[in-house]
Amino acid sequence: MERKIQFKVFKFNPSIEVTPTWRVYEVEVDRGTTVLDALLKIKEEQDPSLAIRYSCRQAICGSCGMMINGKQRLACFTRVLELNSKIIYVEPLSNYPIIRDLVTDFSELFSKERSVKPYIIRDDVEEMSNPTGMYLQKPDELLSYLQFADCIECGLCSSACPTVSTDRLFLSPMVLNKAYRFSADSRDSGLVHRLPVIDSEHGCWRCHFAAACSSVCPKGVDPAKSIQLLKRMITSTNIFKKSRKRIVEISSRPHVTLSFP
Amino acid sequence: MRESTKMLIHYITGFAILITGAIHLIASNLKTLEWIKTTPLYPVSQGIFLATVLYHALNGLRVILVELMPGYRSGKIISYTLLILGVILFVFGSYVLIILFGER
Repeated sequence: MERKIQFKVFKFNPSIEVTPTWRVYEVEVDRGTTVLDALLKIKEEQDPSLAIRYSCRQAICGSCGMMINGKQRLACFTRVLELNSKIIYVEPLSNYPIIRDLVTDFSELFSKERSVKPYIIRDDVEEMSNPTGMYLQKPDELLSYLQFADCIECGLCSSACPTVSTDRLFLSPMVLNKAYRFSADSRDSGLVHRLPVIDSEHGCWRCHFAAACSSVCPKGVDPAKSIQLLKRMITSTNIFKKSRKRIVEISSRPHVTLSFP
Repeated sequence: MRESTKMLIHYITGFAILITGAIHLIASNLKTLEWIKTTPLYPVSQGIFLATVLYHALNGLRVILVELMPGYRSGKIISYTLLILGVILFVFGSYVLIILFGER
């Protein structure tokens, strides 16, 4: 059964406009219509100038994050009728500069991400460049970071974070989660290289555990938890000069051994 | 000093405030335990109380200001201003404690 729902959509082009406006559109939706479907319908039938960023439409790419009825959500992962509201307010993610309409600029967030070196770092550089074997992990070693590896970098957590809204230099939950995800990996020994950034004035210690990041995460990553675990990891390694983590050594098993009959 | 070290001291001083503050409150308000004030360790606990309160309060203020005024230069200015303020307040507080307990 189809229902008519009113959408109030934020419209703003900072390059030619001074103040933003709200446009009202009416869309017929059914049980399965997502907010992204409705916005694309608006774009196709009512306002072709509406700017939206999206890609996969199945909550994997993390491109369509926006404020829907005042809360950070993925438009493709939010069904209109589940919001239980006659008027749906759609606006760009807070805490980010607006490029146009619902599209926000993530370049600062990604440059912060690069600063924490979000990749496996090992001391055996030669082996990293020319691998001769593989690094075997125990199941519990995998579980120590698996939840945090589910991050799709949609940026909803950083938009919800109250510290990001006051301190623009704060690394943000997404970046700190990424730093923990790699530092907790038993194949990685790069925490010492990440410390100058994550253990700085605007690093993980500025998190006050409001946990707003975890409440909006569409993948259940829980960045608030990873930041607390990162604080514990830094304290034990940096102050007590002790790490609980075992760094796995290279296995003599060949890099790739696939054989078919 | 690394941020982790500053924050670890912040948490330790918070715990120390709880203990030394409790000693002060008990000794000042419970008549049966007033004898605590006459022990030689009491002035020491009050000295620790002064130092820990100053560190905890000023570091808390630093954290708030660093968040509200982000920037490498402003961070340095805030930290050094509060460090100087802390030293002045500690010297003044210690002078008061010496006068207070020196009379006994």
